[in-house]
Amino acid sequence: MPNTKLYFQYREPSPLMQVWINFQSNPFALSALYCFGFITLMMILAPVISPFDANQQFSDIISLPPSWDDDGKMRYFFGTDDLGRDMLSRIMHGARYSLGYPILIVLFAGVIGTALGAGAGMTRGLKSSTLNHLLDVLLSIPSLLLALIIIAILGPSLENVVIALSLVLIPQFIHAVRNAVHDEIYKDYVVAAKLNGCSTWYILTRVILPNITTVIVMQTTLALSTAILDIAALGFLGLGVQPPAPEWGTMLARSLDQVYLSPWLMILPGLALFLTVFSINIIGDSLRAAIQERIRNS
Amino acid sequence: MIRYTLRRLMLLIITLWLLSILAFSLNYLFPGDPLTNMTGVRTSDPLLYEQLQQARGFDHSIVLQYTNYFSHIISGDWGQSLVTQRPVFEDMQVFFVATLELSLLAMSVAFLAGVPLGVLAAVRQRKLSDRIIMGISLSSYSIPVFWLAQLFILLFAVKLNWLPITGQINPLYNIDNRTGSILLDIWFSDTDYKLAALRDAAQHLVLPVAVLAIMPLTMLVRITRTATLEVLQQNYIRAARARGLSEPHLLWKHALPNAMQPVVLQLGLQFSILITNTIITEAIFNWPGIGSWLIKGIYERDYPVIQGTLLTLAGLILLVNVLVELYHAWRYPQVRKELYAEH
Repeated sequence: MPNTKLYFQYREPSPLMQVWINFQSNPFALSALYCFGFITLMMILAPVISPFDANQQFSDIISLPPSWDDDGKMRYFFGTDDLGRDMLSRIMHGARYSLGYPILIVLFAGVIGTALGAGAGMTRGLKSSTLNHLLDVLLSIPSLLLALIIIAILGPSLENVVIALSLVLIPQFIHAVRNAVHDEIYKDYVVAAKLNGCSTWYILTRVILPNITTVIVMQTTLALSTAILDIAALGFLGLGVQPPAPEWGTMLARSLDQVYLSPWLMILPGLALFLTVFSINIIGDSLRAAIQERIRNS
Repeated sequence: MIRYTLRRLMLLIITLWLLSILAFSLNYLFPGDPLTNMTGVRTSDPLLYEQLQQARGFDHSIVLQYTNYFSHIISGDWGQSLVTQRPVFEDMQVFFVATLELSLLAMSVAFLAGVPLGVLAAVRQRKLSDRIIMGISLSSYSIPVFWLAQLFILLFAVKLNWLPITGQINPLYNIDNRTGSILLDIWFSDTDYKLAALRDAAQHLVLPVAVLAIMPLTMLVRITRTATLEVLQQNYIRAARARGLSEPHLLWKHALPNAMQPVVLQLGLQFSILITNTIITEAIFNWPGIGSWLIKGIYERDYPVIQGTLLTLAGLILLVNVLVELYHAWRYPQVRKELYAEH
């Protein structure tokens, strides 16, 4: 039977739907989301759609300008580098290192950090405040400095960068989630749930967690842009992903001595990095605004 | 206020102590011999090694080793570099001043430009100039600092040939490096070309300072704008406006001092971001500071240097954060009241 509307019925959209409606109304946020989606899609499909392999060399076509230049060729859309490797393919494959690994790192650090932070937030007293001060020390050291020290211990390689950045990001999640739980736990609705006889697990997952989503979302986008910038910075300094892997920061470092002759080697990977970080920052900002708007309206 | 100051200083001492434990444990975590990592003395002479072991308490328990290490750190013996065999603490002082010069200049540029721009954006809310300021600040906040440095070098140094690329000063000027700060060195030197040398040093400073200042500047613009907008909605501003005060007077005398409160609190965080960027920027511009020394130390596996730079940079950040918090509590008594319910 067709769904006939006999009378007007107002349906309150679900909380998630409300956030999405608020988010959607901002054109910048939406275009940033499309941009991020495009880069992610490019990263996943890179082995299929990229014209060449990332390290395939065309020794007869070295330092070819991009196709919009007078000397450029459509076959090599973004031109080639000083070893004759196709730049478009390198940037596409590089997204795996510069975006894929940071996403994995943030997911890993986020799950562990949130679990530990929630646990720490539920406990009180000396143990909790000692942990807090310890975290304050760790967080006062900038993430890149800490990652550099861990790299100095382990040695530069892709696996060690992943380990170092995960170790650096976990305390940030613990600190953010712990403080958020701590702020909520004394509020009346939590006390009411406690008086109802709910278990600690129920209070944590069903009562407190929905109210600290803002913090977790913000921390995740912040951690993602930190991870992307740090992995690129380590690659740039020659202490992260090692060449010939087409990581964007490593490509930028290689372009340093080519920049006079072929500036596109520097501008294109940098632009890719900038667009990725830019769209993540805008998504994070608008998501926070959307969630705050929902809380204000409800 | 006294209670708050004492509490903060106690916390600073405890955190510095925890930092020293971290640095001590690094000796064991770094590859190689812990004693060599700590002192930087590389020797094949068994007798000398044994003497060193006794001097550093390595024949005793780990707690005694730590106490021994701690007293050495306090007395300024930070070991010697594995590469140059020069004492780390003495070299550190010169590099530290060079880094401090760069970061303080960048921070003041960011503060002096960021706060007025933020106020301007708040006053002209939703108008064209606000949109332009906020758009530029949001996009430049996302630029990776090393890419920005490369772009500036490409544009201003290579294409336009306005500014030099690396170093502190043209080596032709033959300035003795005494304090580490190039401007102070020139000022206290006795060359005949003081003004020309100062000009050259200033030209070398422009690019690194500009690159470093961009990130905190954009953050300060955003924070100032939000804070000013919030203050402008308060009742006392409306009351002042109702009494017929002029708009500029209202803004500078009533709104701005109150809007500065969250901005001041942010300065500490901005400083730690600035120090991260300093490490990268110094490496690019070949600036002889702590950051480029640390990177070089990691390349050369110079563990005493890595340890020393970690201690200095982290200690500096902690100290600046505590100073900012103390100033904030002293300048804005309402914050203290919230903290301790004082009257």
